[in-house]
Amino acid sequence: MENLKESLIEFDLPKRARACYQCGACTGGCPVGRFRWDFNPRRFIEMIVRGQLEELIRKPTIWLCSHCLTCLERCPQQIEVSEIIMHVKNASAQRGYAPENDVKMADRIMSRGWSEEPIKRMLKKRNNLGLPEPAPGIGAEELEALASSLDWAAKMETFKRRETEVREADSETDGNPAE
Amino acid sequence: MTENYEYCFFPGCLIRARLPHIEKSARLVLERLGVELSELEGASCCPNPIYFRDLDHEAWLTLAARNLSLAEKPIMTLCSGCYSTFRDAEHALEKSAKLRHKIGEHLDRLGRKIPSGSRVEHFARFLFEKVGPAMLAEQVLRPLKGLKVVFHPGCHLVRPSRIHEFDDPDNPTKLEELVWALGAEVLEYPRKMLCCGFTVMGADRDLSLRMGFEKLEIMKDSGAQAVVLVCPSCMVQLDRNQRLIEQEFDTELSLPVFYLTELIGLALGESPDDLGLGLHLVNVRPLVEELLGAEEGRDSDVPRVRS
Repeated sequence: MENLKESLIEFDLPKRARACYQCGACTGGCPVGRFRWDFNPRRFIEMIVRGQLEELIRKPTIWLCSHCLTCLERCPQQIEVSEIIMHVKNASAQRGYAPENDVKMADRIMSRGWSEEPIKRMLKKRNNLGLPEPAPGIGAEELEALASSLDWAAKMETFKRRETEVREADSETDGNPAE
Repeated sequence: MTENYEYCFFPGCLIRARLPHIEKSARLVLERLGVELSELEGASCCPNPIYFRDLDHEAWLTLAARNLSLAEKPIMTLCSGCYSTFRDAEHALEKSAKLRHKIGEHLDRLGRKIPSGSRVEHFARFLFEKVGPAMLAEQVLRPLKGLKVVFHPGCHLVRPSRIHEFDDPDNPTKLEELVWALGAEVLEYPRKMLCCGFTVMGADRDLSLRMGFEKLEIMKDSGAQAVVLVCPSCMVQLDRNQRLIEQEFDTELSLPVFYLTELIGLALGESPDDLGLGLHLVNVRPLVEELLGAEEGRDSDVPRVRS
């Protein structure tokens, strides 16, 4: 819990969220909230202000944010809601709650440089269109140096750690629509 | 065109791996408008401003700063996601001495340095601010008369507006002026800034398709013949996933989706085959043939689009 607080305080999250008066403009404009009542940015901000951080990072629904930035634009108090949710997700990922697909993509980027690479058929299509070969990307040596500087192997261990517990937490910690 | 512009080209993962027609049309159009693109060697994924940044802000910022440090000229990106990563990274590094120090140490170990100043341009923003609708209209050889489209701005070119300072974050209209300049008509439609839903695919496929369906349905209901957009993620969601969405919701949309550079290319007289329009998943052939036929006379030899 202390670690979590520290990681959120590093980015001043409780302070940045404090001005929230719970008007719900963030949630009203949210394209995800339209379909998922359990995705409620107003509630997430309230939980941060009230120090319910442990409960918040265990909510799998925080990972549904599409990062469209509507909440950030509309907040009458200029609270950067989506930025705050992003930092909460970082803390959530450190506990191993990130979706598997996100973790896989990040690992592809750190091990090969790209989130995806053109398959053979696509290289042929590029060629047919007269496009040049894709420029060579970051080399293996520099990727290794980067990974070591960022302590990436240890991070990956953490990201992968508690995948199964997330599903269990799902049913327990999501409140009800009236919240 | 009298001006000459030089940029380092940064296509981004999606265009590089899956959407060569976007790269082709952009290269053709930018060259015609006096832009010289040089290749950027040694780059990596920008990295992804959502999936990657959500996991680890520090690693995201380090890779972004490294990419920025490679470029000897300003970077031109075709992707709103890459643009978002680079602009946000520049902003974060400028704002926080602590982050600058931390990221600087990582780059130090690679023998690189955090570059200073703004180093990135989005192709569409360039087209509006440096070329402009009036100059673009002068270059048009084949006006897209009679074509009715809606513009899907996507989220990350205009937001966060306090960083980008480009256009109204709720109702952006600047890029629509470029489409008007081609001779097409841009229709109004409700909730223009509604997200396409692409970015939720990793966490919840059903939700992502539902969001895509909502956006496509609203645009279709406006009476538009096609969608115009400026981000490869939106392109994948609204073109490549459209059939999936039709199956999932038992409906028929058949709404063609163009990248802005493809429409400009057509208006500048480029052929549909050179532009790679056959690579779209939603067939654009009938619409393009109708357009070119209307311009050149229906009975003449109309260039055909291979599918």
